[in-house]
Amino acid sequence: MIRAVVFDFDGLILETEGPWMRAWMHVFEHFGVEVDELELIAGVGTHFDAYEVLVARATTPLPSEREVRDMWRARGGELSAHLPVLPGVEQWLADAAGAGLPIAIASSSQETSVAPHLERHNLRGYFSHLACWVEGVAPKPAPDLYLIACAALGVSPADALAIEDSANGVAAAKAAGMWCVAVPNQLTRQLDLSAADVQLDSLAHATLADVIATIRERA
Amino acid sequence: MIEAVVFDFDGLILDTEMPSFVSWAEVFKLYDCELTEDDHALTIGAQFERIDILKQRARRPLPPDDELRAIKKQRHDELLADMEILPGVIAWLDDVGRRGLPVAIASSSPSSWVTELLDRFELAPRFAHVACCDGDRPPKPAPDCYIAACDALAVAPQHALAVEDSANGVAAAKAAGMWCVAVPNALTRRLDLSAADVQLESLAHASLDDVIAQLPR
Repeated sequence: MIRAVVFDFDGLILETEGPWMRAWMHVFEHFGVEVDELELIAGVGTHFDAYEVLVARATTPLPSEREVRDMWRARGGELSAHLPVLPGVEQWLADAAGAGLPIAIASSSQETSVAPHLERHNLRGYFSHLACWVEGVAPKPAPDLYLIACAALGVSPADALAIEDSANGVAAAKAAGMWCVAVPNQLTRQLDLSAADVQLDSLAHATLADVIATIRERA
Repeated sequence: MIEAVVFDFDGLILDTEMPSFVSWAEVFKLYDCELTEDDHALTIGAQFERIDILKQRARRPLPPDDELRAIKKQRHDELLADMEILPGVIAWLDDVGRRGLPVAIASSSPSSWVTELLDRFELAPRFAHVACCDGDRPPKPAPDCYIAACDALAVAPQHALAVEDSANGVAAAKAAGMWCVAVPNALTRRLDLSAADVQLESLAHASLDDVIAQLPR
């Protein structure tokens, strides 16, 4: 029985991963270092560090790590500041709220890069809790963020549905003992998400009720 | 690398140009003269007074401008009420979201016109910014509204894709230094849109991914 829904954020509610990746492409280009998009995609959903790749490949001296990261952060912030909500998200949130299910976020990003986007799109009110990464919490694929979200909603992970777009996220949800629906985006389509209980092409292609019905048959 | 997409509005998202043409053509007919699709096409994407052409061509005495505009407006409103979002637009907006690209509108029309229609068709939340030609901003083919849209999205024009249906619009986008895909509608089909980087019959005929793949990396 599903009693709560926990959404991943990056790549699921907004496609922020593309802009942050393109921001690294900018930085690499700025320093004349070649990088393939696929290498950056492989790190999606975890604390992959493109900076290390940049350092390993740079043939000219780089400025300080701090300066490089600031350059990336500034560009990523600009490129992700105006993103639209992904198709189907608002309907899923409205359906979950309409069914009386509490909703949370479980994200490996910091709250400061999640909450402003939700507020800008008037979605913040749907969420009872934002389980975002803070120093000392293991990021996905560790289950910790999902366990925190379920605890905050007062439900057992076995009664909660996680909605994820990445392989690391699916692994985190399953390790937490939750049900999981995987909805790959442009970047994560090439990843293996078969550990999820249900896979959808887009949240616009099925309703929350459809997915819950599918899960009920399996339970 | 494409980092943002900027859409024209009239004739691209909604076929507002056909109601505009049909309602004016009907007024011309009332005064025994004709507004052709060619006349109309030339004015698209720029601010142009059809009423001035009418004054030159009318073969019967014309009432005051107010009255002419009222006749046109009544018919125009009827036709606008029957409009639908053009084919492929929603799929493109979905794809833009899926790629994590910010989206804006750049239009020569007043912002009141664009925002009212975006609201009516529930499209407003899809766009982070609407850059219109209110006040001193010159209409297309001047690049100003495209440059303003790119600025608002914090993207250099060389990294942005404009989606246009008219020759004036394509000229504006190219003058801004953007990539441009031209998607003519029934009225703009006869215009030369070859200055665009890619031409499509309809947004329903190709995806955003297809178009981006055709641009040089």
